[in-house]
Parts: sequence; C-alpha cells; structure tokens
Amino acid sequence: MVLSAGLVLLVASAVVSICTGSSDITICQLIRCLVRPENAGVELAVLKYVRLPRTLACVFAGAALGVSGAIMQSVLANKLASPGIIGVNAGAGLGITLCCAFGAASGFVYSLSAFIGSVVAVLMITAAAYKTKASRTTVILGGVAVNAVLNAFSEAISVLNNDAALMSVDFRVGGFSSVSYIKLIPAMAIIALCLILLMTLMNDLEVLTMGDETARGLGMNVRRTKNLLLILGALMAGAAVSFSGLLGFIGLVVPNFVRRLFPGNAKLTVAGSAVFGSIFLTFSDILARVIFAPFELPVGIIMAFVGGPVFIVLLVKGKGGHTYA
Amino acid sequence: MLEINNLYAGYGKNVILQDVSVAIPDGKITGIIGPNGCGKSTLLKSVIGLADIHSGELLVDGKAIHSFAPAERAREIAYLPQSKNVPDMTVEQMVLHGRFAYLDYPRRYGKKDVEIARRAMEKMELEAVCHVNLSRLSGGQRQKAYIAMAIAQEAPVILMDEPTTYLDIAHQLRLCDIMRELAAMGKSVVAVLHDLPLAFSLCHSLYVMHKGSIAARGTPEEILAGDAVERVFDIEMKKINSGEKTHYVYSRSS
Repeated sequence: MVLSAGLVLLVASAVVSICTGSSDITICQLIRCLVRPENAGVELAVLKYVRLPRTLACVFAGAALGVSGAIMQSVLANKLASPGIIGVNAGAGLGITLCCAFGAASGFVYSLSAFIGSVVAVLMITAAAYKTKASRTTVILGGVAVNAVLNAFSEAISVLNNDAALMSVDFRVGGFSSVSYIKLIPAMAIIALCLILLMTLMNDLEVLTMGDETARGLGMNVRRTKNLLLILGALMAGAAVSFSGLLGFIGLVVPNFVRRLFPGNAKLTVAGSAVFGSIFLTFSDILARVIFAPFELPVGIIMAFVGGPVFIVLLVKGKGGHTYA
Repeated sequence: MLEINNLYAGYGKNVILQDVSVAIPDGKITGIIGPNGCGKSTLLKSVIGLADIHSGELLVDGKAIHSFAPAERAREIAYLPQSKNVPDMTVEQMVLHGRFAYLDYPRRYGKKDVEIARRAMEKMELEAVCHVNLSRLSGGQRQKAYIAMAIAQEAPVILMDEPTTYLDIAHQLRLCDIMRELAAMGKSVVAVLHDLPLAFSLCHSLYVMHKGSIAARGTPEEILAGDAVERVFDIEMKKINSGEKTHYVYSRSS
C-alpha cells in the first residue's frame, strides 16, 4: 500500500523534475515530444540531453544510496551505519582527488576513478574484517580508521596541489549539474544489477539479523553472506557516488525513515529504501534548481537542510518502538 | 548419533576444551551439566562450527562434521544458542527461517516449508501469535518461537544451550515434554542445563563437565552414585522417592 503510494509519488516527482529548470517545459509539451519526436525542436534536445539524464541520475543514485544504507544497517546491526562507514565516500574522494591531481578530468575517467576508489576502499575494509574474523563493531571502527587515513591522503594532496583542491570541490559537496550519459549509463547498469541480486538475497539478510550464532545454526555461511551483501551494497553506492558526488546523508536517513513505515519487514524496508531514496533525492534536486534560480545550489546542501529537520521530527514523534538486544 | 572423540577446541589460541569425548545416542536426551565457564557452551559451539577445533574428531552417523558445508551441517544438527537477538520479524517468518538450510539459491520458501513451520508452531502452541512481531512478545514466548524454529529445521540432532531460560515453570515442564517427544521420534537431543533437579529427572544420560574436561558420565543414577556432582559444584545431591514420583534435591556441602 505505502509502497505503491511511494511509486506514484516517485513517478510524479520524476515528471516534475523533467519539466523543471531554467526553461520550463509544460506537461503538454512533454507529451507532444514523446508522441511526435520529429516535430519537437529545442525542447527535445533539452529533454534528451539535460533533463532526462539528470532525472535518471537522481532516481538511480537515490535508490542505490537508500538501499545500500539499508543493507549496511542490517548487516552491521547498527542504525548509524551508511555506505560512508565502510569507506565508499572516502575512497571515492581520494580517487577523484588523485584523478584531478594528475590532470585527467574528462567525465568518464573522473567517474571511473571515483568508483574504483570507493570499491578499493571497501574491499580493503571487508578483506581485513574477513581475515581477522572481526565482529560487526570492529568492522565499523576499522571503517572509521580507514576513512580517516584516506581523507588525510585526500587533504594532503589538495593542499599540495591547488588544481586538485579546486576541481574536486564540486564532487565533495555532491550534485547533478554535470551529469552526462557517459558517466551515467555504466553506473546505472551496475546499480540495476546489484539491486536485482540483492532482491534475491532478502531471506539471507533476514536470517542474518537474528545474530551470527543463530544464522550459523540455521546453516548459513555467515561471513561469506555478510561480505557478499556488504560488497553489493558498496558497489551500488560506489556507482551512485561516481556520478553524484559525495551524498552521504541519504544512505543514513532514508533507511531509518523507511524502517518506521514497514516495521518487521526486511524485504519491504529494502524495497522502500529504493523508492523513498529516489523520491527524496529527486525532490531535493528540484528544490536545488528552483530556489535560487537561475543559480543552482548543490543538492547535498538542500538534502541536509530539508532532511535533517524532518528526520529529527520523526525521531521525536516515533519514540523508537523497537528494541535491539 | 553424534560422536566426539578427544576434542581440543576453543577460540583462537585459547584452548578451552581438553580431551573431551562424548557419544550421544539417537532417541535419547543427553544433558550436559557443570559450573559456569566449564566449557559446556563451547562444546555445543564446536559442533556447530562456531569454535576453533585444534584436534579431535566430530562425527555425525560416522561422517566427519568438518567436511560438511554449513547448510549440510544444519540439516543434520539444529542449534539453539544461549544468547539470542530480538529479531524484528513475525513469529511465522522466523519459524519459516528454520527451513533455510533446505533452500538453494535463490531462496524461496515453498508450500512444504510453510506446512512444516505451521506444525512446529502448533507444537509450541504459537498459533495465536504467529503474525505478531517478536519484539512485542515476552521472553518466554520468544524462546518458544526459537524452539519452534529449531523443530522446523528437522535435524536428527538438536543442541539446546539452556533452553529453559526465560520460561516459567509450567512452560519448562511443557518444554521437557517436547524434548521427550523429540527423543521419542528418534532424535538425539542434547541440552546444556543449569537446573540440576530438572537435568536429573529429564535426561537419559548426563555428562558432568569441569574445567574443560568431562568429570563424569553416565545415567542419572550412576552420576548420583559417584561423587562428581559433589566435587564439581560443592553440593550434596539426594534422591527422594515419594510414592510414584522421584525428586532430586541439593544442599550445600556440610
């Protein structure tokens, strides 16, 4: 019920997103473009090369970061976990900074280095955890330590190389003003593939929330399953971050919000995180374009301004209700 | 039939079990008793693969357990741990997860699994709460749900680490009946128990553990005749017959 309402809302916000911008397109124009593309002029070009990639970017990045956060929070049994905690953001940030320092700043190379950076960082943390049989808390603490080291590298490079500092600023705040298909399509493919795989692992995720000992008793290879889920989650988040920049907040807030909508249902929490993550990001991006038009705010700033207070209200009103022993 | 021969096991380099040999027959309830920290839980955990085995043999029906994949192992041995989470799901969902080891990728529970889970819930008298979230249940009902999940696992060996925890006395007795039923079905039931009178009246045979080794083994009668319980717990244990019923009582050593 709530999920289908969410889907309707998502379609609506996507349509608004496609129509909003420095030259507004009415719904009539949009439909005309879709029905008779040969008669459309400038509008079609705007739709095709500006609005559509941007909206797709919002939808996919929102879904990827939301789901990734939901997975991290379940696997690590910690509601404060998010893709950032196991190195996605710090790794991507370092990848970008390095890329800028070496002067390669074409769209695709830029995205690729962010993606590789995040995946390498995540693999380092999960491999270390696997080797040492670390507990969930140790994974989180280790993630914090690796994040600190990676960020220190990025900062050091930025100080020594001004170009890298200037060029990577946009990426660090996060936003969609420079999205293009060449960045978007490979990342979208990765996100879609990970989503499909994750949806087949929902029973495993649920068994995992019963605790390691119970999961083992039920016949699960606990460490392998955990790492598989973490890596799939990280791949999605890394792919999203590669074109959206470092949007950290969404992976933390959206799953916590959605969990209140679907208490006791891991599958719906994950699916809901995809839908509501998309809505949140698309909506924030519309605001980012509209509020100070013709200037544009980075979407990361809008998300924090809108999402932060809303989340606090939820926390105060919701009173918890669930206890995790 | 679960056999453990000359087992040395523990966590990392820390060896807790030393030269432990245990034979658990089918169709019987075997109790493991001993003071805190004597390695009772570690013994169960080493069977399920949660402890590190340094040397020794673990056999189910003559097959070495360490060669089993986790799912194969779970089809042979169900395990009810002592410390458990409060999962955020309904009773029915959780009991259904007892069937996890029978599923191949992509894991989808079928009609047969649902039916087996339903029967397990019936056995534990959980039908009324089957759609209730576990976080809303009492500790005792949650424990019953965990036991139902272990029953749904349909393994010939069931290991229970302090299954009577959180249960009121009526439910403890009900659980004893269920353990007897499971044994009557031909399963090997192994329980770590703290309640000595309960262990003595329930189990067909007992292992007394002390400091990582087996201090004594035998039927309750044989254990009572020896001095292991007195030595290990520093108590006196007596059997009292009143009419048809037998009671076990203990008091501090004088």
